[in-house]
Amino acid sequence: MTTPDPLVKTLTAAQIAAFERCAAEVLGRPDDPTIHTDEDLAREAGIAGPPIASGMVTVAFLNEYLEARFGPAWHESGHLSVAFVAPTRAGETVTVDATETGRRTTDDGEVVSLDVWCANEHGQRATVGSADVRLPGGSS
Amino acid sequence: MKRPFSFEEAEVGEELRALSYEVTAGKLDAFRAATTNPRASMITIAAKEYAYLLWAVYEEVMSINAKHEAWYSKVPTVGDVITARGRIADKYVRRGRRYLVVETRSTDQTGDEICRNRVTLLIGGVDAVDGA
Repeated sequence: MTTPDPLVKTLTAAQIAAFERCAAEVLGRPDDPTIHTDEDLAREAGIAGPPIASGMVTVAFLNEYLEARFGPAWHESGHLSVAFVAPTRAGETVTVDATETGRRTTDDGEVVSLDVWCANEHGQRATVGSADVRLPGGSS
Repeated sequence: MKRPFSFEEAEVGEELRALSYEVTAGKLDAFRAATTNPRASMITIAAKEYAYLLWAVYEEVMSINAKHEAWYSKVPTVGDVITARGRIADKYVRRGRRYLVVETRSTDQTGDEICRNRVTLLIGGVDAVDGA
């Protein structure tokens, strides 16, 4: 398993709306407005400027990066813990990256720990946290 | 019928209504398009269940994700029926801001765990968006 390059995503308003729609589809209510898709609701909530993405969009980006880095092990044993410390807005280019902070051996395999983040094109980290994953057989 | 949400009256430990849905090819395709990841799984849709579980019981109020923690166990596949259950796990006030913590656990039709989540919502905290 190799360390991938940082994942780079450009976020559009259409993408943010599509994410909200498909998440709400779970309930059969894909057209329900949210602060992420409805300008009036956003304004009412005091959010000005380009639409902000749900924090779950950056979680999806982190999942993509971590799956690329660790393969199926990520979705079978991954643990992610993040804080949303700044908004991620339509029009921004998001870079997803991580640094390894430690490894330990357990009875079930090797556990790798990382610091993870999503940053905008100005280098501001909007989503920050940590991740752990168990690698069966200790391969990495 | 939904109840008005009151942070003060929200009870830690309250079990929320369960939610079930089928993973379809259409939902998976939509998710992959929205995340521009042609190999994405449905796993983060499952993670957003916290909001649906909470606001299915209460009248929705303004809230913002402050923190998110997830434990993944299994990738759901098309045809799986996912059931999510959740509870209000905690609430607290810090620096004048009100936080509500919701925990969810999603399983498939065999009872296997797909993922668990612990989400911290900033209730009515618009300033946390632009002021963060």
